[in-house]
Amino acid sequence: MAYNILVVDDSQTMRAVIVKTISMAEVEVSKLFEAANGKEALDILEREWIDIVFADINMPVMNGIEMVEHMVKLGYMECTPVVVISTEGSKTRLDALRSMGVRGFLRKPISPELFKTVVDGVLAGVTPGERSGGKPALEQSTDNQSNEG
Amino acid sequence: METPNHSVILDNVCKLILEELAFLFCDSQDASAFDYSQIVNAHKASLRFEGPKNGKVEIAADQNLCLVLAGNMLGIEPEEDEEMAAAYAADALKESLNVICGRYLTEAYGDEVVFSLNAPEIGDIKDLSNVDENADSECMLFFETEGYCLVVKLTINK
Repeated sequence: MAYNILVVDDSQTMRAVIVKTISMAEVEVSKLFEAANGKEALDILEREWIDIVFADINMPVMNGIEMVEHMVKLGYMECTPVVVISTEGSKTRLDALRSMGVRGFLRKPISPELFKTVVDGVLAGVTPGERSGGKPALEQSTDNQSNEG
Repeated sequence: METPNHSVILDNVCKLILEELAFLFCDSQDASAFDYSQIVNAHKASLRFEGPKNGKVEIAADQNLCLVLAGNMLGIEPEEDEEMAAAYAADALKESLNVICGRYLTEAYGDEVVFSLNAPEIGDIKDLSNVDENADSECMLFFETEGYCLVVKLTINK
């Protein structure tokens, strides 16, 4: 199965490192999208089907927490798993993100082995979505729910 | 809140992160013997944090070391792909600072407290020698790695 993946980090270096780690973890990629902040990520989520999001927290314009809050409001979290890759070490903040539906956490610097373990766990429950016409995630979520019903 | 030993914690964190992030093994240098002329051609980045304590962490590294840093993080040889390494050099330093600062705050203040980190910014190397009037405490650490120097400065506000 190949996945549409969105990498969100203001550091181009870290985005490149994450993309390389995805490859090392042997995650099959259908389409790879990159965003430098939460706002850019939401724009991509609005027009493209994304199977998994890897997101930083500390970013300019819109940080990762604000991005997740928007994703919750828009209903994206139900169908698009988010894995936070950050320097964040506060249990308080990680618990808050977990309560909003974030599925996984990786602390920078990321090790390829731990990355694979976390991502395999998250993707185990994900079936790559339809990719015809880049359906918005919210609509896709509704379709998925109705299909399950 | 117990006052942490900033310089010891930061020294350990810098060495650990640069090794894990970029396979750079840093040796601490004696501050009194440090030759500032070694870091004239340098990139410098700073990052402010807010929380139970406010302050900033700054880092400066020789531009050639930043090329090595970027190359090691990306898995490329700077000599073989100079253009790419140069394009990523300053950003690699900023991201290293981001990771160092995040880890330092957890090590110094524990994992229950919440800090907000601003996005790292590139600055002027001369700023490193400025004494912040709002500083409650400052520490500056000097490292050598791959034949180049690296300076890390922590400022905790009053």
